[in-house]
Amino acid sequence: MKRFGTLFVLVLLLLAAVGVVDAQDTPVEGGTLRIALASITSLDPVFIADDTSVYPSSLVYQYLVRARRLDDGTIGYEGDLAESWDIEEGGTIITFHLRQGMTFHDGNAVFAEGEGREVVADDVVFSMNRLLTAEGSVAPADLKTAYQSIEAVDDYTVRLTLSQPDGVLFDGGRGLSFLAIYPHEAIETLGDDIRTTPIGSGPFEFVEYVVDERVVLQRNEDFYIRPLLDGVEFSIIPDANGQVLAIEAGEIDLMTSAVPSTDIDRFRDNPDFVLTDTLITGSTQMIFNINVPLFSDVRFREAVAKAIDGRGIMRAVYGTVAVDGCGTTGPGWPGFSEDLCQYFPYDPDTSRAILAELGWADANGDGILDKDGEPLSFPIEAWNIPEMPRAMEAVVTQLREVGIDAQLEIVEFGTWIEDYFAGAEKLMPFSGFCCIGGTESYWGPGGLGEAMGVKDEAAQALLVEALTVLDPVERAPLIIQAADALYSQYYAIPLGFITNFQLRSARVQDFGGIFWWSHLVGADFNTWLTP
Amino acid sequence: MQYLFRRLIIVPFLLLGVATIVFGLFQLTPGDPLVGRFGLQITNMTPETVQRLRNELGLDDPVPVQYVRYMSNLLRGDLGNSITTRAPVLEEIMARSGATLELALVAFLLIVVCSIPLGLLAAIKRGSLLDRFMMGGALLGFSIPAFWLGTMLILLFAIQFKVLPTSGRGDGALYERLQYLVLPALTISLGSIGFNSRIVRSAALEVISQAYITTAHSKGLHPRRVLMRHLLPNTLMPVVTLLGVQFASLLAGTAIIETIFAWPGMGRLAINAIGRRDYPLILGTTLVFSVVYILTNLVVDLLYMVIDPRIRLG
Repeated sequence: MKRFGTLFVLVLLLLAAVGVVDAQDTPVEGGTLRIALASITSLDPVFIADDTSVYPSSLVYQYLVRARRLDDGTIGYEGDLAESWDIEEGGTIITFHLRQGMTFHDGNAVFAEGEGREVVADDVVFSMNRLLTAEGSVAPADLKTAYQSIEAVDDYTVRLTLSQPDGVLFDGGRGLSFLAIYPHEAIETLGDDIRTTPIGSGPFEFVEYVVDERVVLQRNEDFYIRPLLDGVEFSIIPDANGQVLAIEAGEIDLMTSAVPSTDIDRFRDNPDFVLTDTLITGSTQMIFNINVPLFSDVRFREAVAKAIDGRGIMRAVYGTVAVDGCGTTGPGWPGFSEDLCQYFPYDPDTSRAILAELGWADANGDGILDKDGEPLSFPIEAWNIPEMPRAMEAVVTQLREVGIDAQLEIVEFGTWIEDYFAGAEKLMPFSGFCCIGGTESYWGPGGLGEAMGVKDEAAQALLVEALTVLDPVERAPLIIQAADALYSQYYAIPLGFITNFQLRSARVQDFGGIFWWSHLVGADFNTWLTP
Repeated sequence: MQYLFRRLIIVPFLLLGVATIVFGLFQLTPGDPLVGRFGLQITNMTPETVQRLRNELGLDDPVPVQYVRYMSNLLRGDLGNSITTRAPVLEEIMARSGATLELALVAFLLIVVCSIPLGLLAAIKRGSLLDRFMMGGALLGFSIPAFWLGTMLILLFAIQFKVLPTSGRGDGALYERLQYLVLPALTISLGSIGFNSRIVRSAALEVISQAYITTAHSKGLHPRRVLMRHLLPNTLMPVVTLLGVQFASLLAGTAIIETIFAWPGMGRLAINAIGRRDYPLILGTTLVFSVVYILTNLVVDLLYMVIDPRIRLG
């Protein structure tokens, strides 16, 4: 009898354990996902100029297509309002077939409860026209350059005509990712108030925005996929460290600011949290203004490049978030090439030799090379993002070892970018640009490189061609070829890449990730919370 | 009354001066407001869009034209629109003024309630262990940087003991809202509590040594009566000035604390505006902070008249 009792208890324990496993694996409806974000500037998609404001608005609005980083690291393009699309005429005509039965949110100042009207092709045309023509619109150049016309073929079909095929039109953060769909009635009725009371047709309806405090959203019961979450609450916590503290205290479930590098290791093996490498690798590189006589000689630029141990500096300064590699497009993205690093070995001896060949010698024994009585000295202007000043101090130290007296100037971003566009006669470290379209934007026609005098026609022709190739696999060799042409000329010294880590509570299940948009409800994911 | 009138008549001129200085300083500051607003996204805009935005904001107009436009708008009570949010500046400020006022009032209350009794107690128990302990604590209080103290308090009370929230303002009942107030209010008030209690102690010691206090004691008055009737009112004079300045600082200078605790106040608005080069918002918040300082000083002067009849009669 006693043995039977023990067996009975064991069976109960086993069933309980199975129950727990089931409870954690079976999606549960209900609960509010609490997300921290740094700031909100506007909820009107035409005027959103920062990444963070997109996170709540992208749950309220639908877009034609969304790009999402999949678990295997590739980018998947999923229909949102568009159920499918046809690309014709070599990519110059894209016909979007809209999902039928989608309705705008109701119970608001525009549509009374139960009276949200259906989203039709005219709404897409209206939203596109407003994006392209509204005063102060943040319509991206990618879209404006390629756009020719848009028309509603019928209620559920939209035809977009482009002047040329555009390979990055669907990418997150570019092109059509700015085209949120909303009703013309919202603009007519709300006017400027749409910046604080958005009305869309996305999986969550807007409930409340309290300035600098929170944005509250609730499930859109009429969405074609029923969201498992009751709602989403965005808390505005400006400081990344503040977001870390809030998630540790259990006050939020997900932080949208990048996890500070000093906090990454302690979350890595913590079962209560999920730390995700976004693989959005931003490049850190130092750009020469080749209009400066000193920097106009490719041999001189090579000498400077070989005096700097980019990989060592990035690892020492950025630690866990540093990613090895050279170029503008980061590892894991079409167009990244490991071969570019062949031009940038840390080789101070070669650097010294090249400088000697160019006539630089330490005439007065002060450790700094001279020529024609002038010391070898130039300024480096960096902006004060975290860790950049430390990285540049290491660069200055290494340059001094080969006899170069680099003067480090630290300024804030506004000053830096103004100086950059004014063609500062300095070595300009830069951090940003990555992923799809990164190399094209930086070094292509009208790109940032031109402000530093870099207008390599052969490389630019390749990048222009790359932009018209729709298949990323076919596009990659062109980008690599262009990058090789650029970096072999040492227009810039790539130090490496920095990735971002995102942190969420282990309660958050089936999360679609954050990649330009917040992805909570989609064809193959529907975010829910373990009780 | 004439004194009050004289003080009030100066206020508009002071504001005019402040507005001019701030406008001038902004013109000298490097950096483009459009870059501040759009950051790197500006590189993704066509040159026509950038030029259109510059024209729309009047950034390409000559400085004197911008100044005249700004001042004439100001005289009509129009502080312009924020470059970042496109909302009227006054609307942006008013939306946050309640949060700042709430935090400042609670912190101010803490400062008054704690520093005066502590300072008086230390003076009465001069030289005792209690005096030394309190003055040591006071020194520590105003030596600790507020941003460090804030983080430590969050780690202790929100992360370790989980008794208070880390940040935010709360939106529920009064009790819940008070929970959100505790840590930021304590963080900004602790330094002032320490500083003020030392000032109160010094002032009280000076008063205690006066003959009228000795006389009051020798007349056999109850110590509490001596404290309340003679010691306290005469000790408060220097403290009132200090409290006035501190209240203005609490209203205008809590930016770092508001950032750490994600408190949706005017200080954080000002910091964000500076970061984004949102010059109408920078000018607007600076002007409001100036008004706060000017009015607080005015109130302090009036309080002098209430506390010390000699000033009123003189």
